[in-house]
Amino acid sequence: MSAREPILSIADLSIAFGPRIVVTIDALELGSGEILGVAGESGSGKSMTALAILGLAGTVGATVRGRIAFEGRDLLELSDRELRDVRGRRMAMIFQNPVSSFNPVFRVGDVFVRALLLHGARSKAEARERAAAGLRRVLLSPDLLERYPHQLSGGQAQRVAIALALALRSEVLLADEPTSALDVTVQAEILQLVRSLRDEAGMSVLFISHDLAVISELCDRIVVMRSGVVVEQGPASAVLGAPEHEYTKALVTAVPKVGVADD
Amino acid sequence: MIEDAFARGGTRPLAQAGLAIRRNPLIAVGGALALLIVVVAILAPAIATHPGDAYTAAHPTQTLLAPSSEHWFGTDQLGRDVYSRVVYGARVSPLIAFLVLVIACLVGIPLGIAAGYFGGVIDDVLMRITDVFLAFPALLLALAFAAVLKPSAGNTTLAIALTWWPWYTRLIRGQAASVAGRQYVEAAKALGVPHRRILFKHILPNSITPLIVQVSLDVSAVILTASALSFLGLGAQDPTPDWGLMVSQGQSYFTTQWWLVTFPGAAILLTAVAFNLLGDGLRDVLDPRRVPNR
Amino acid sequence: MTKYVARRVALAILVVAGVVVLTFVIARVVPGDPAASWAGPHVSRAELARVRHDLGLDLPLPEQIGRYFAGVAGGDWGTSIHTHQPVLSDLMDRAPASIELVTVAMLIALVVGIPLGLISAKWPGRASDGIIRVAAVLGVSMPAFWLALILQLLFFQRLHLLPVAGQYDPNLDYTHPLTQYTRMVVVDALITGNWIVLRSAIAHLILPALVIASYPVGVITRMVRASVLDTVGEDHVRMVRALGFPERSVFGRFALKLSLNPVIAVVALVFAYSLANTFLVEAVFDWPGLGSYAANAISALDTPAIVGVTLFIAVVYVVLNLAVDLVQAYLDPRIRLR
Repeated sequence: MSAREPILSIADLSIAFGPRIVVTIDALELGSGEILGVAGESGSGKSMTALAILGLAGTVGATVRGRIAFEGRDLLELSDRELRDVRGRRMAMIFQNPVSSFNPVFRVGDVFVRALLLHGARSKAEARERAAAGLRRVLLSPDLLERYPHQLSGGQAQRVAIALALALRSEVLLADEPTSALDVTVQAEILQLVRSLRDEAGMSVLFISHDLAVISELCDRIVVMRSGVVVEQGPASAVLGAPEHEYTKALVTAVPKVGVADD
Repeated sequence: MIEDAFARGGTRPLAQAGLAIRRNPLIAVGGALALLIVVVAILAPAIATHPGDAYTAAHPTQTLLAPSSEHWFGTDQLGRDVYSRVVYGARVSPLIAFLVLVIACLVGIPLGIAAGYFGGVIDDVLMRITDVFLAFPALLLALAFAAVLKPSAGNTTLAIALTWWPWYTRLIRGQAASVAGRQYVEAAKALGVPHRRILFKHILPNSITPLIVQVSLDVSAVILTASALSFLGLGAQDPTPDWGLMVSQGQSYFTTQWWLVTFPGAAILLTAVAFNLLGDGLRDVLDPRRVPNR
Repeated sequence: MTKYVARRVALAILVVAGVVVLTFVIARVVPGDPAASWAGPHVSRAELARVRHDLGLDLPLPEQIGRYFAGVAGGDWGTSIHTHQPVLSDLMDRAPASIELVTVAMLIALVVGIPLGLISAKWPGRASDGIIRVAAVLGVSMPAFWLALILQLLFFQRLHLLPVAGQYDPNLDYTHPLTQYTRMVVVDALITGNWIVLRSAIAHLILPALVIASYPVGVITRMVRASVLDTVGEDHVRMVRALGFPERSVFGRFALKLSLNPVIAVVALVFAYSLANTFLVEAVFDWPGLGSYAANAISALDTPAIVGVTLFIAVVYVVLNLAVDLVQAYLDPRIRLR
């Protein structure tokens, strides 16, 4: 599992609001076909890092320095246009609150189809077909495309978001606390789905969560962040089985039944 | 966590005010202008070059003179110094606005508290009454009241106040209802704490911030309404140096004597801008969650 | 949805009833003795009693209100002291000109205000934002009657660019007579293909419409800015950005559509506000609408006419508000599909 070619590698990254630096990461790699867990409490810089990878840190007023290489190209060097082709098309992101991550006055299918047209679908009909196929792959009825977000359950909305990533044939999925707002049974289904994305579609997944139990169940490798700094990283079993850093130890003992990952 | 990163700024009121000014420097401009207007109103006798012209004086030999070093804003149809009258005008419509807002609060707040705190029939009746008042654009209703009263500054004040109170009843009612439903108030009620005490200790303090914001935003609207009534001849009467009245009187000479209309109107605009900027700023500082827009 | 519509309509009817009562209070109760103001200063006691009887002022108050209601509902809104015409027919004559004026002003406000609000919200804190915000504050702080006079001075007296009185050049009545269907000159000129009058009418419309538009431009700009700024922090905006949509459609399509609801609400409010503002502007531009009618009524102390205009605009306002609520409910799937 260690010999994988990294699809995404971060070096000397710093993210700042004005003079205040909130994240510094010396090195972080996401292997091709890997599920990398990023753990840490809220405020530790996990989500900010994900936004920086997509080149969206600027939209919340942050500045990013360093190098974020995606398949060898530094994303920070790309023009706005080139970056937009990466966003959505190559890398997709899903969020903590699946229902509110869809605009309430658009049918979900509308966003879906527009995104596909933006990223290579040649016609509306083709986009519709691909959207329906995406929904079937996450075991949802294509009829849901006609619905508005408020008519979907949290689990359904998150599946739709994942289906969108599938339909766009993204290579990387950035998942920011995708299960935290869902109840436990739905959570398990979504985790299963994320795993199958990797196993069947070969997606690489950066999985951000404050929940070590979830991370330990799903991820190959773990990065633990605190106050914007990576304090520990390594294979899931190693980090959780024998944590080195005090903070990780505290996190591990705080979760009742964190086992060693099942792989 | 993005929110966290932002929230780490100061929470002390002074620091917040500083932050608000830096984010929105227009507050400082509004505050300075508002202060200027208040100072001009207080010191009018010292600032005016011809204080006697503010009211009844007439100089038949000096009518309709163009602006000059002697008469900065020229003279009007009775030979009065327009600059001095504009200066004294700072004592008229801003004062009307102040009185209107005081009266509207004195009427609106108790009714709002009654509606929000007691609920039930009182609430229903009061809210339907405010619905009716709010079904008129403010200027229109004030105008209708003013039109059937004798035109005077006092009746203008009354007419606008009659129009304005329901806004505050609505605002306070919402606040009071949300506070009245909270646990500690429910508990106080259950313990038999007198209504009066609950009202003063819990409900009023909680309602005060949005009220201040709304009142400060309303100063401009009231000044514009009062000036409009004066312009239509329903407000203060000559010789009162009311800006709206001065514009109205200047209309007939306007094509050749532009200064008669230009300066008093500019004073209205400046005053309205000042309080609008100040109100916006106060809203940013005191109530980040935005007061519902009208 | 049906339940919501029924509730909303019932409430509107209740409010209209309240509005009628309030205008009754203004016409009959506030002035003290309306008979005295009706009859004028020098009348005998017997004369006054007769007037009081004619006006029904000697009846018990509930019956007076009942009669007033019946009158209003039956189209009898009293007779104007000034024009000696039934108030309602006066209003019907005058309303189209005002509605035309205010509608054009609102179109200007939307066309100008929405892009300004979007630009302002797109780059908050930049110079463009600062300038737009100052302009918006100027717009809402502008005394309309003063702006009307200043623009008149500038564009007519000094620059000789635009006409300032009436709806179109009256000389055209001889050369290119206009057939009136709607009494809105621009509309009539359009449907009859009278291009000469149309040109003249548009030139006459520009200045008064700009003056009326001043407040709505400010309000709409501020509204769009605030509501887009509220929206851009939300998850779904991050989502469409993460999907690679260009900023143009992030703002111009996704954020804007969500912000339109509050804008629609404010447009109705501002439309009614602007109808009242015509009182200050129409007389200056000699525009034959409700505003100059009201201004004349005010200077003639014509209470029935004043109360009539007030009632008319309030009813328009209530109906507009109702329409907006229903349109909003329809546009917002969260309400429509509940």
